[in-house]
Amino acid sequence: MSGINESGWRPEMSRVGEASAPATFTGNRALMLEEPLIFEIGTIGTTGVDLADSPKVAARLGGLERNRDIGLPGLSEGEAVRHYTRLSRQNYAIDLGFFPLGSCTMKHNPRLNEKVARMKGFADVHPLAPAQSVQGALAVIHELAHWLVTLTGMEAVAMSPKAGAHGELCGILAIRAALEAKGDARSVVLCPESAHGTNPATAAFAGYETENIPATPDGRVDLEALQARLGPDVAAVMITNPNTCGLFERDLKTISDMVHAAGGFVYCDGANFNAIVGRVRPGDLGVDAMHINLHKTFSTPHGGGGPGSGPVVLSKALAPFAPLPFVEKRGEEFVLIEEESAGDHHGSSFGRMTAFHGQMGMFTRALSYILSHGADGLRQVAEDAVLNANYLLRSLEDVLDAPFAASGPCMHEALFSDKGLADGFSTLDIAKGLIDEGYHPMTVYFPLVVHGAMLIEPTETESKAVMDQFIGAMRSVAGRAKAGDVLLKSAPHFAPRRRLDETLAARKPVLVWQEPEQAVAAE
Amino acid sequence: MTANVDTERLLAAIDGDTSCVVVQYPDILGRIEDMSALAAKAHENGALLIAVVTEPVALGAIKAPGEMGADIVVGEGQSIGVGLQFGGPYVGLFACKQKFVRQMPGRLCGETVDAEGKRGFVLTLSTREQHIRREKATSNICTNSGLCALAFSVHMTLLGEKGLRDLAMLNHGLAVQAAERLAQIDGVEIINNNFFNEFLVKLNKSSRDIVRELADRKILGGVSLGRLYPGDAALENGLLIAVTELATEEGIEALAHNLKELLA
Repeated sequence: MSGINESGWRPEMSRVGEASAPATFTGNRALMLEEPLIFEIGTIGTTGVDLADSPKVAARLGGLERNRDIGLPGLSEGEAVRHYTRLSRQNYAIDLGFFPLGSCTMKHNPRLNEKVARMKGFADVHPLAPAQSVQGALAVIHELAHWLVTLTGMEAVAMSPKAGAHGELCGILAIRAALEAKGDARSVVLCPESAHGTNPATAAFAGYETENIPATPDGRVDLEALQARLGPDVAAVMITNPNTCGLFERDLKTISDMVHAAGGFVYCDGANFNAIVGRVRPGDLGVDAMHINLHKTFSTPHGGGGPGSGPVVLSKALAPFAPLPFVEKRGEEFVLIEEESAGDHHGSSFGRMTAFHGQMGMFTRALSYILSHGADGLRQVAEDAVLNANYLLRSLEDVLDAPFAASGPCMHEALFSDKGLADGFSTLDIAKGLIDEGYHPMTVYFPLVVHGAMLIEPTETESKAVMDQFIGAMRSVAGRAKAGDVLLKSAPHFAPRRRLDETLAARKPVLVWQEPEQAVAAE
Repeated sequence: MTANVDTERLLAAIDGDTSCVVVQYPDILGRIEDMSALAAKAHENGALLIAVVTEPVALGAIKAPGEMGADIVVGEGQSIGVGLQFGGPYVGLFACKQKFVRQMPGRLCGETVDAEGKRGFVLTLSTREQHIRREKATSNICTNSGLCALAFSVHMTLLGEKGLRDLAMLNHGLAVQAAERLAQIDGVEIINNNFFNEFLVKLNKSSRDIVRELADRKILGGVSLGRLYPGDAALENGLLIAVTELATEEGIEALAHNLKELLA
């Protein structure tokens, strides 16, 4: 035997997969570290801060001094840094790789925005500081409002809503106020079947009944069905454009005209604005209200689900009813309008959505994003996001069922169904298989109109090389699901945890730290 | 502007039609009141007591609302680990008795085990939520404030029980010191008998004007009730002053000195 390793064999190849790997004493696997909860490692006497002594004064707490232990564990600073760093390494993140979670627009968060948001004059300002001391902050709100109105072709913008669904509520409340001002109380809001769940939930929260509008087989709103349902009881129609099937509602102008002719208003869910920013102005399509998820289209970080920011642009008909506060420029001064009586145009305001002026930390980032991209850059954002999604759609439609592939190009999301997978295999198995491949899964089981939906949103962030690798992974995992590879049923094999028992979590909810049973029994 | 909340009037207003009683603790004027009687009366009438805590650091010094019978406690988490940022993003806190869990809005995280029996965590009880129940959901909430909640958790871990209690007493001690100093000024009357780190003073002039004049002197001297309750003449001389661990003796002295000049 010669000493030449012609096969390319390496020592680790004999131990692929964790089933054959030995257990470790610590439960750690090299850099994959197990980490207890702070309740298991901290003590109530440990603290990571060194505070000045309190002045010796007689307390004025009204006899309500706290005299029971709280039970709050503390760690030293070093221990705390390690604890949270270790936990963070068990998470996937946009800074680690491709994050194709449809509807969430997980794009790169430019570092310039972070620098701007951390400037002390923005980050450390009290919301109720006197206006003369916060002119710069008010200028940012005013300037961002200008660009949001300009990009959408609308009349006004309410900046205070805290996230998308809060913005929906703001828009629907403005619609209700406008109708009530005309003495025209209406009771129904229509939503397409493919709508985000927030749409009907918002309408119900605002006191409306909701009804579904069916879709045509090509995945768009059924105009005839909509026309048939419109009438004097319909307050609004909530439309997502591009819709959740990844398609542009090309008849939106017609829809708006129909709704307006019937005396109703058009609410547009702007969650998917990333596909059309700089290319389409919703105001030109007859939209009356639309929220803009700054944390999606304008790239403000929303790890773990937030924070969001959901300013709502409003048409001329709804602008007078917008909630307080507003920033106005009078001469060289920026003025914060907090009272109905203080401005010229806000006498019909329906009230307030928040105590303060909105998600300032998101405003600074979004404005930085808008200004650094410019008009041409924002247009390219939309174009590249759509191009990337179409590349994915066409690269996968031969291995996965793409129910609307025949409806033409998709917008910024590619949608697939579970049709054609082997018996007993589901969308969930593909999602879990992708985790083993090192990807956060796509959005699954939404929209509800598609069986076993898989909604993939690459955003403009990703290069062709990144997408080609993902396409390879998807083709491999989809192939295994179609071939009935039993190992896929037990994926993920390489994640910090295997499949988690969600039924147990819901049946016996453990929602806060509980002492282990043996400790309780011993007391 | 009174030293105590008119609890008797609130108690008298609770009847069989009442669904809930919502009380801020400490309240907007900084006052701290025992909520036990309100909880008892609310419960007698089949209503819930909701406590609102806008300054969670206070709970390192004063009784927990749950001890006094609150059914739901909501809070603003900003002062623990989240920057002021001119009003947001902040993190809202929502806690309730176990029996109301299935009516809660928003995301809930729960403990479970994985296929190998290791402890793990999932989002759970999602059949309450809009992406599943749509118009029948308990709320329309989708986005949460994950990053702010993380900052809150990290900050709480750094404080620990000792740190939170010390921080609370430092806030309170400095606030008492500031109140005692300001009480010496002609034209300033301290309204609160008790408070945590925020108290109400009544000035001999419009507090809105005084706040602006203080700002011209590079002092952020508090929030005027005139701004919070515009048009209410009885409140226009009220000034809310908050004193935290960041306050210094020099800062308190500068406020007192300038206030004295402006009120003279």
